[in-house]
Amino acid sequence: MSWQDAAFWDMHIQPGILLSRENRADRYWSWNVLRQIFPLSQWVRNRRCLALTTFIANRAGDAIPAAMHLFIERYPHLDVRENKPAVLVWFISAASDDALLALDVVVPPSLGRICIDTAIVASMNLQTEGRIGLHCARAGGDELKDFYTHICQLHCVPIAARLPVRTRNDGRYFFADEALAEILAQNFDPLR
Amino acid sequence: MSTTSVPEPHMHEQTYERIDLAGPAKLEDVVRAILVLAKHDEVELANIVNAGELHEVFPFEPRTHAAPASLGRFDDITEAPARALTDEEYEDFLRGGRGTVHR
Repeated sequence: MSWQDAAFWDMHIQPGILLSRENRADRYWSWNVLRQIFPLSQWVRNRRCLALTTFIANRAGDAIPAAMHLFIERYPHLDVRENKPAVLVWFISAASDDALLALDVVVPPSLGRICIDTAIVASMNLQTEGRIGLHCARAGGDELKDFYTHICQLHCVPIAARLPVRTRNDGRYFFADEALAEILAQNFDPLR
Repeated sequence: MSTTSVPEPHMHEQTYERIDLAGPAKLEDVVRAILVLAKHDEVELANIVNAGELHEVFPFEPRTHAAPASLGRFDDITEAPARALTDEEYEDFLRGGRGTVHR
């Protein structure tokens, strides 16, 4: 993800998210800030981020950003029974159908699942074997939790389980271990 | 559809403005605010962003550069490397590029 991608998103995609009637955690995000400042804050902690843009072609063949991703590499795995690193899915945002249609993209695909697949593939590429973790934002409501549970089929960290993070376990932490990541990645193979 | 890392011809030099003051921010103030951000747990920080309250812990915003009218042709996009970035590439990314080093 370059600064141009972030600026394009903030100018053309984010306004629709801000006005959306859906429960969206990304309503107030500025990718210009997230992309620049948050990796620096992790650099202070001796961690790296991975920022990616997922593009889709519109009818004219232009590259349109359809999803934005900010991951943290080698974050503690949320399943503390395994003392292994994983990719933390820190911020992911999918363009709304309306925004993509306005940019002449014909068929908006299932971008939410693609965001999770991108994280799993990134984890594999970063030698963390597909392990990912994420916190399902409260701002996303029950719909977002259902999405991670039923559509993405991620494991939910039991609410009584210990976490490797300072915030309390509110029952909205999800993860994929190596075995689940392999299955989920295979499900997406026909689409690659 | 593609996840990309397109070569970046020029590094982007970013400056910041305080949200509550119309003017450039001092570098030391921005650095200090980033150090404060780094003390927050990642999920806690995400919750602050989701609530639209980031300005309370980071009262700066990048000086606005015009968003490009186009990000180029889809067919010209190169996929992100299937590996971790080198230290040099990561420095390019932190400076605003896509993490590709040109020689």
